[in-house]
Amino acid sequence: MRANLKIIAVLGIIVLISLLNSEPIQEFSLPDINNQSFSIANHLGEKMIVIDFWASWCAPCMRLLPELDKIDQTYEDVMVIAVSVDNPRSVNRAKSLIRSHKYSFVTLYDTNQEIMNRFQVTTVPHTFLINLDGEIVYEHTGYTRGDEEKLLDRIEQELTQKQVEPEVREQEIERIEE
Amino acid sequence: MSRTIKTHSFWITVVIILISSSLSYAQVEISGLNEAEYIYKAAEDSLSHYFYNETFLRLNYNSIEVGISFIAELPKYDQFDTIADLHPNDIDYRWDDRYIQLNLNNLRLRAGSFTEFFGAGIIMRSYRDKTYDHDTRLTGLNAQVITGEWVLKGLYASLPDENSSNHKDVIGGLDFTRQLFGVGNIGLSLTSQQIRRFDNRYSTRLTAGSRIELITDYFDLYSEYAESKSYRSVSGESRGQAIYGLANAYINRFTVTGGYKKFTRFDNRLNDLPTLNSSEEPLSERMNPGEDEEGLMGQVRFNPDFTSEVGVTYSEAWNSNFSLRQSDLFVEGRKYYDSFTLGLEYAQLELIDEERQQWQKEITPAVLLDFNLLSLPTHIRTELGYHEKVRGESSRDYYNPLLQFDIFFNRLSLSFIAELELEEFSELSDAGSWLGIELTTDIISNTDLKIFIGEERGGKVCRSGVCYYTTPFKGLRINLTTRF
Repeated sequence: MRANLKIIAVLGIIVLISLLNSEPIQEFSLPDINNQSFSIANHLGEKMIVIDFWASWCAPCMRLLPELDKIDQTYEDVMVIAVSVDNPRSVNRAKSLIRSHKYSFVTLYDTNQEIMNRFQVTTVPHTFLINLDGEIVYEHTGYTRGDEEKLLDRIEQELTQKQVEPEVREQEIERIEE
Repeated sequence: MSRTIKTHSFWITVVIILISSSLSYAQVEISGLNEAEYIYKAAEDSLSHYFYNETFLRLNYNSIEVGISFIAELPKYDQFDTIADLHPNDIDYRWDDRYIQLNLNNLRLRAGSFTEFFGAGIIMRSYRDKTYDHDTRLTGLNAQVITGEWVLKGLYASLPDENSSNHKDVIGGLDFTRQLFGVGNIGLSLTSQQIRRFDNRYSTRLTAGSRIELITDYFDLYSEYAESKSYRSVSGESRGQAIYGLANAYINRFTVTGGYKKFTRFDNRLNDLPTLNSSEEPLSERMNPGEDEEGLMGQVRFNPDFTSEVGVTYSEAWNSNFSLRQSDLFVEGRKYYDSFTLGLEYAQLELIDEERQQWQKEITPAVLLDFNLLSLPTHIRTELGYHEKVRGESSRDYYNPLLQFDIFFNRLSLSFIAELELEEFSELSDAGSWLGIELTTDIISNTDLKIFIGEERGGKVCRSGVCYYTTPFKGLRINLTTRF
């Protein structure tokens, strides 16, 4: 019992240390919709990344996906990755949903929920925004109407901080000038 | 002096850890999750107070990952628990998940506890579902080689015997998946299980399977076939078979899906067989999934644009002598307007068991509405379920209306749930009822608090903008989840 308590105390201290530190995102690889391996490491630093954990049986998740598709199509400097956490028996339904809607974003399949556990996701949808330094700068659980505005505000804020003009602003300027 | 050092050796160790962690924190990544749950169960003959805490810690250093979790059940909450006295076995604290993993470019090696699956889970799926207290995690060795063209998985592990936690069953397996000329992939799986018998001897179950997945822009297909052979079991030698297929065609804005399943003597606790229906209901409660069932499923979905969608799913299932039959119909439509979203659903499930002279029908129409109430996001779900059950000479039918009202302000969400069970609407006072309130908020950015008070029937719940599974409950439940 005493030994267990000491070990718990050490673990607790390690936890406290971790709370003081800013952790970058851990790199991972998952199969995409064509079962080809996709590694996030190849894209960190190139663009900001929105990672959304979703499931085919989750109605709020289904409402969020079209909003993420708009973000993916609007911002050249943002990549959207939707990670399905459907289990092996329902993953084919999840793939069919994505193909039928013809979404443009990257879809990955975390069938064993390993990456979901690594990101400490317990409910879906769960959305993260990763900046160009590979750090998680935004995190949100659930989805209701208007939640996408909070994500957009954060994206704009990050883009402004990095002084990277989004493609949409250039297009708007060109349109106004015309 | 030496006695002083020995006496304080623990704290010296802690200081060393603090210093080394501070110096090397940039290389050591620490993350984890703590879930605490307090339950007050409102039942006369129950224990009433339950506490559960699980802490999971993960350390990453370069390509090495170490994970460990600690569970405290003081005591463990069991939805069927009726004991009034605290039993020693109900208070438990233990180390749970323990593993070390090596992640190299194309190779992953893991020793300790793990979950794994082959194909669609028909041949093998080891997993943990805390909500339904399902745990078939394995302990042993797991290896994966992942290249651009193929994936090879191997495992050799044990899991607790189903009937005795002091004994173990053993499983070894291989799974190979290869890309198929850019149009899909093929896979092969092989497992061997040693299953402990009641007389302490072991029976053997061999399983072999293959699968193919074809993917094109307009069509995709997934098909899996497996055979099993059991011998040295109490019931003698037996063979089993599993066939599963699912195909989709994408025609402009339409998606047409067809599915087929057939399982014969293919039930095993280390597989997870698809139900192939929208309600995820098994064919029968008196028979294990996979023992004897066959079924078909058809689905049509229409997505004219991002603002609307309609879908119809129909499936049927039966056993070999047609004494068990199931039909499942689900129709849904959604329309997204600027200021609100409207959803309509209709579900109908029918089950027939001729051997038990049992017939059951459930009809559930539902209306869902998302809008802003005084600038606050609001979600309303209304259902009017109708259930009809016939067993032998007795029959019962009742209505099951449900009203769920979710409202969100800032970081707080409030959910009101009211569910009734009544035979006649004129007899409202005699109705069974489940009333509950759930409050969800994030205390700080990495800590979520959820408080539920009242009653709920259980099942899949989409509440406060998130979805999860819950079991029937009455009382107070407080969940605190911290991520670090």
